[in-house]
Amino acid sequence: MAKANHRVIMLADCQSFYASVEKSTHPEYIGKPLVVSGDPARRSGIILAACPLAKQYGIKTAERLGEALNKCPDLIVVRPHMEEYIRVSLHITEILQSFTDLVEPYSIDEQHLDVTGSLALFGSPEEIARQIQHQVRSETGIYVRVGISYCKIVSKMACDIFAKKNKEGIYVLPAENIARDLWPTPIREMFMVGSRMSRHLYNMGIHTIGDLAQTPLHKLKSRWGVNGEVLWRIARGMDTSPVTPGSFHQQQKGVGHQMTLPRDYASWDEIKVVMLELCEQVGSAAGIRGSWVMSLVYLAKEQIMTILQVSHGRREWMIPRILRMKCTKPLMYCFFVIGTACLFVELASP
Amino acid sequence: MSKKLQGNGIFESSRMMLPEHREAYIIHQEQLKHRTPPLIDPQAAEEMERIMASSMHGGFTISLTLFSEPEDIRLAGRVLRMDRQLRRIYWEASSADKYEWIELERIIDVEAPDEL
Repeated sequence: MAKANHRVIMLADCQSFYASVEKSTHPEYIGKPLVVSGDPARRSGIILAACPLAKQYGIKTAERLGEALNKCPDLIVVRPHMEEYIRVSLHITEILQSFTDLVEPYSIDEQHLDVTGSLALFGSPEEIARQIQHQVRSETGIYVRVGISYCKIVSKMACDIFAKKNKEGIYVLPAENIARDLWPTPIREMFMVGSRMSRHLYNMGIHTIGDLAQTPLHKLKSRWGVNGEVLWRIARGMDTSPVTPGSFHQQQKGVGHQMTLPRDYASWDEIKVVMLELCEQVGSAAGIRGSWVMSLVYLAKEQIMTILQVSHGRREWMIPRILRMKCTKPLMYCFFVIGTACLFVELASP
Repeated sequence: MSKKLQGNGIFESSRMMLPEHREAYIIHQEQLKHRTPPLIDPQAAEEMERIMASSMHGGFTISLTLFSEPEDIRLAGRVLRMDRQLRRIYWEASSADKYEWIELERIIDVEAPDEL
């Protein structure tokens, strides 16, 4: 791998990112179990991140705060500070960019790097990974795990399945070791396979990544179409996607806002106020005065789902779409935002 | 072919980024040093022109790399016409029914299929 006759791609993943940033900002919390959680009073008391010490108590991400406190009464609970997390994430991007200009964030705590052209300057892939770990830790206090391979997909799995579990926090998975190392892994651990998909695959007799890799492609395609082929390619480590730092310049396709209500709203008059507020926020975020922002509201038995869409003018295009949806979803209301003005239309009664 | 199976499709469709993070990242990237186009060796330029001419005459799909300051752009398609006087090519993109004139000075690399 050191001679780089093929690409050398890494995935750098920050351990318990939000919790680590909080511990780094508040050294008094070091050595204590800590979670980052929303406010239970506003019904957003979900664990967003737990430090490794908290995880030792069995606390899991997305768990309710109350349950977490039952498991560990001494738990330190901090509110999220998203601005700070974004600042630290960009600082890590800068550190990674000192090794290569090919850095692409995948999420706030995961970034891909293509270091193929940096080996002559910084040493072998493992040496570069160790330098990254050292520099990120010394400048931000965060521990980074690194998966190394020849493509983005395999580097991601090298990190998630192996580097996160070993002592060094680094794992190299070259193409020739995929069958030996990756294929015996349970299918639920594969990139892009969630719990529901793993159940479907289990029902088809596919229990490991290797089982999926050896399944005839047409079988997967006939069941899931292009997504079946995506899974098959992931299992076989087939990926030519480049590390593209500039892919974020693409135009944003959607604008949305959400809100957790402080209590259950039962009357439509109350819900209407919230919806109008959300529509105004979307209109403001879209920043397109004179264009139309359309919100469709479906009222199901126990939940409200809204779809907010932004359309650049051409209102005659929107009316048929609204009517078509009305036929399939009878419980629906529609809001329009034109510039800063809101208009509410009841399309069908609940 | 589906967009998911092309280029960076899998990662573009599954990336999880907060809008605020995306915005901050774009500003960060814009503040990075500006890039300049590479100097093309005359022999390399000749070879690139040969591949483009083969694409035009044989209808082969080739890959072009265009210089762009934030990041180079890769295109797949074929050359329909070469205008040597105005130093540009008429290009048909493979992914969509899209035709455009591309100036030769923007092209920094041309890749041919193995059979060429």
